[in-house]
Amino acid sequence: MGSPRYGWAGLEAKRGGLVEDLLPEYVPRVYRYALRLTHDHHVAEDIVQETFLRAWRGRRRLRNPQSARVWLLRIATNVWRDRLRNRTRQATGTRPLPDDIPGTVLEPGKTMAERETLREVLRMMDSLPPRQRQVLYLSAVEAMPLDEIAQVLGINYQSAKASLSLARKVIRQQFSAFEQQG
Amino acid sequence: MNDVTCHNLDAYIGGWLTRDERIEFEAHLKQCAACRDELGRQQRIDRLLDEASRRLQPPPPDLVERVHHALDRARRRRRVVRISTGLSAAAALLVAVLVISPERATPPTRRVVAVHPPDRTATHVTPPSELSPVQQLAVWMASRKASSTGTAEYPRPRVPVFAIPPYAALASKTPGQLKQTTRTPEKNSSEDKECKVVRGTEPFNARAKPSHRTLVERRLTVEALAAPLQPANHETKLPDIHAKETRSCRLHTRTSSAHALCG
Repeated sequence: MGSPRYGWAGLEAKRGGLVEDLLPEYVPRVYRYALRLTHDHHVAEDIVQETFLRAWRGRRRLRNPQSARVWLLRIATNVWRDRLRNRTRQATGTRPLPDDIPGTVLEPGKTMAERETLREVLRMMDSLPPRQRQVLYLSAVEAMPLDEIAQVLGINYQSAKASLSLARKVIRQQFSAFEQQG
Repeated sequence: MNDVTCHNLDAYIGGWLTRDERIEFEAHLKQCAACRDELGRQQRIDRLLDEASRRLQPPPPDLVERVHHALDRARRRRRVVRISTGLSAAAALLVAVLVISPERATPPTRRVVAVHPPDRTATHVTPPSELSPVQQLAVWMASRKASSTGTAEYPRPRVPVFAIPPYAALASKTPGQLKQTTRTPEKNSSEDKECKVVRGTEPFNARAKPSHRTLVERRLTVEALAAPLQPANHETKLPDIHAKETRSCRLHTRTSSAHALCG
């Protein structure tokens, strides 16, 4: 254990260390969010690296560690938008989804029907427009309140609320149709 | 199914209802099977989405390590940039201190000259002190003529007028004697022209514009120089006009052209 550093160097080390302390918990979260946005695990990994590099460069802006989740997901959203502007190999929300979702791991102990249900639910979410997909993911997976969702996406509260209501209604209809087929 | 109350399903799921609205909707749920089905379906979808996202597509196991290495590389790169920037700034400051500042403060050539003025004169040609004043003047004129810029390397030596051989005779005369031999020539007379010719042969001020005092001294000198050379018998036999001509003639023997004018 090294000796504690004081002054500006110590503060810099503390802030830089803070970002590194966030890695084990938030790298998987940012990766899953990026994967839902891009449908490509290579691009999602790039977005994760770029997100944490930007977070490390702007670590002074993170004054409250409890808001790290909103802060990091907001950065990831901006990274994804920047990549869309540059438009090389990223996918849009209207891209046709592959039959087999990349990166899917078949867990032992899960029945085939259960795994198929999980895949189908992911496909339903991925077929939504990007804004609805983001709102639904942040609400359902991250259990994020609506004001934080609005902060992550950089939109106002009412827009987030309307997008979430519409996304839920659409996915309920799709899931209802899936249940009737099964 | 009450549409107005069923419309609050999403708000109820999201927790956006007020306390009274929530109580009212929960009372509606007990009576509306469709809303109960929708509510159950939505809760199941959210659970499936969470499970599918977490379990079906986990991140690569080494992703955290790769991000950690990326941060280390960025930190090293920033350190190198900071060090190189600091070294560049220090080098620029050093150059500024060593080169620019001393030159602006005091130019080295001027400072050396100011500190050692005798060295500057010692390297140039100066008339030796053993030379006579006239020789020093001759050396000065020769150096001025030899230089490409037409200016001498050192100031003109101070040579008294009476040190010059033609005027040296004046040094032995008293002011009274000078006054006796002084006469003012008539304006535009032939003798005045001859005197101008004689003055043109003077070696020491051929280019410089003489001052009024210098002109007067020269005229007095020329006339005083001619007076002692006058033969004694001519002074008694010849009239004054003839004596003038004789003096002019003797004077003009120095230059052949001036002598020809006298006939």
